[in-house]
Amino acid sequence: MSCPSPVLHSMYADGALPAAEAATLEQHVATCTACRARMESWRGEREALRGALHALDDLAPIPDFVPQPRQGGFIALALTVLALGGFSTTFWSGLAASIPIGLRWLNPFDWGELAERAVDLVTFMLYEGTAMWTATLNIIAVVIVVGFAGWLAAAAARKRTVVGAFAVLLAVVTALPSIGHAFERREGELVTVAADETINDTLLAAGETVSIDGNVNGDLLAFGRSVTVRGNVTGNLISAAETVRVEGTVGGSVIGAGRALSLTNTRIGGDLYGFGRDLELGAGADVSGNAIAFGQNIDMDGRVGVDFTGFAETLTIGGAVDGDVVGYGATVTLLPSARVSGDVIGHVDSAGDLNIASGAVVRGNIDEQLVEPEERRNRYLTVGFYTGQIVRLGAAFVTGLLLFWLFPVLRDVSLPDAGAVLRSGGIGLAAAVTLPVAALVLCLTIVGLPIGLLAFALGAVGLYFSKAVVAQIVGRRVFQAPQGPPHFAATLLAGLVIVMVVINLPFIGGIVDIVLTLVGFGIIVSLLTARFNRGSLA
Amino acid sequence: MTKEAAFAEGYAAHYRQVRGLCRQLLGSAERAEDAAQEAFARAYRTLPSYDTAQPFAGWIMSIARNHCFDLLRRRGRDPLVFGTEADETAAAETADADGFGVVLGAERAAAVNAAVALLPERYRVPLALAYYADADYDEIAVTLGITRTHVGTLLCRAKQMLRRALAEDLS
Repeated sequence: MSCPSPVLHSMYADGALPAAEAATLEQHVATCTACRARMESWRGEREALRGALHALDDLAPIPDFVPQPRQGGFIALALTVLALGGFSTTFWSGLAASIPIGLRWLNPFDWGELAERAVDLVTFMLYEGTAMWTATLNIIAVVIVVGFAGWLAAAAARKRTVVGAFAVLLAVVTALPSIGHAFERREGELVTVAADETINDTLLAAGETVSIDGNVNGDLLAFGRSVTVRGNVTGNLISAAETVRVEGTVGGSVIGAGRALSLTNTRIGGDLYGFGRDLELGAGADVSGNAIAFGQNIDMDGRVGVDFTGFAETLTIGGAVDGDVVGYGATVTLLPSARVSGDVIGHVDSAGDLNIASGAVVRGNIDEQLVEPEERRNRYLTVGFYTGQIVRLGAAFVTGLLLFWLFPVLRDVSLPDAGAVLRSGGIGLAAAVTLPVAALVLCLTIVGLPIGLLAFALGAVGLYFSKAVVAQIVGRRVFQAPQGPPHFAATLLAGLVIVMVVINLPFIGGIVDIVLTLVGFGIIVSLLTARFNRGSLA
Repeated sequence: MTKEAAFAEGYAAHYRQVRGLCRQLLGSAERAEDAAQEAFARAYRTLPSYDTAQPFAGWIMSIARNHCFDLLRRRGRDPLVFGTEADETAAAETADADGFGVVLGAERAAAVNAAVALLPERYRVPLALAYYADADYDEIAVTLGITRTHVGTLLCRAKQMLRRALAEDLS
């Protein structure tokens, strides 16, 4: 009888041969040396293989399980909250009050003021800006702003290359079909219009470096890393870049957004809307219409034909304004060279933050309006303060419970190390900055006004919930119960109490409030943007 | 016990096993982690229809196994094809197919795992099911849609190839 095939031997070693065949094999093996050798050497292989395959199991740790966040749910929750409470001013003022004071300049969320501003801008647009707002530009502006906001967030928060996100923006911008209104497009790494060149069309320029030295008889839309306009633009200039420099003349209005926005020796026939971190209106700059600027540091040394409105951390005015100056900021300063034909109204944090240097000329009234009344020193002595905090704690606890019941994923987030805290804080800061900027610009476009206002509201709701998220993390850290994890309500309450105490401490309370809010906001934003989050947010 | 609690317990108790099975089936530790997470995510989504009387281990392992099969099918190449029984038997019976002299021992675990990861899918999958998931021949035959004898042939070939790989490794 010939030797059974290796397959039969293998099946025998696995114990998978039926009894009869197994017996036959054993009988053969008794008489065949070769087969006996094979059987002997294969006998223990099954166990050996099992052991080997399982040997590497324990090496890697088990990640935490995080069920997929339901993005739509957060929007639904926010909309419900807005629908229920949106019509009450108490709701909005309560919401606004929970946003740390230091962040308030980013969120000019004083509902009354914001509504007034929005109405001002809208009516202004309607009556004096119609030339600018053709339907095409509306859509383009919305898309560009969203893309720019995304670019800012990506550059600041993620480590993905700025160029990558920039490429997305470029794709968005260049993929836009020309809807009826034909315009010239130039894109590339370096986009230039030579000094002797004239373009008789609206020009869309997008590139790493955009340098316009020639003439554009139409509107100019310029986007990139660095945009410099030295030539003449007869229409409007809309630009977004890391640095925007305008040195030429613009017949219409200028909308500029960027990290650094500077206008030097330029004449602007219409209005100026500037958004950015550092805005500079140089001594030779002349804006015939209004100037509205949002930024961190605003230096105005030029001339504004009508009103100047600035929202900034530090607002410095050294130039001439033929209308009113309205400033919102931590400090508003008028240099000796300032000349204001109308009123100066400064909305500042505390008395003395509106500085009018001697030598400055103001023909109208000077009005210092304090954003926050100066009674912080005495609040610890009042009973009202403590009852107010307890009410706030109760509200935060109830809403926090609702939030964690709806989104179990938020119950289990953790910040394992300083790096994770910094990352979340960074994301939160980036989101907190880009959101109001994007929302405000959206508000400028008539199409986007409701979306802009909704974005504001959602952002505020997110900021409100940030502290609940952080409280939960703190509570879980503190509650190391031996009998397994405690209920999330208990950790939430414990965490909220700790957070409330800490943010009300004198001196450091404000900063801690801002940091905690940004970290929590960053966590919420990360979860909303992550498709599936494995493990903790490290 | 609530289903959520059963899930949490099952996750802690069986995660390593699920990840290990995915690693053996897919041949890659990184993909195994993602696959294991996805398997548990799917299980979580279908938790309402899970019968708590049914053992958790078997349930999650079958979800993981099916997910791995989906991944293997999706990798662009031909769907899981296990050759023909005749060809495999013939291959098993060639003169020095066995790779005598080298025995699969547990002390060379790293080398064995590395060799398994390099096996073609049609050998690696039955091997993983048989020697990691402890499935018997009939279960494997049903899962893969082949005959019992074909399973035996594939496992024999798998072990032959492993022995060769380890022999080359040593020399």
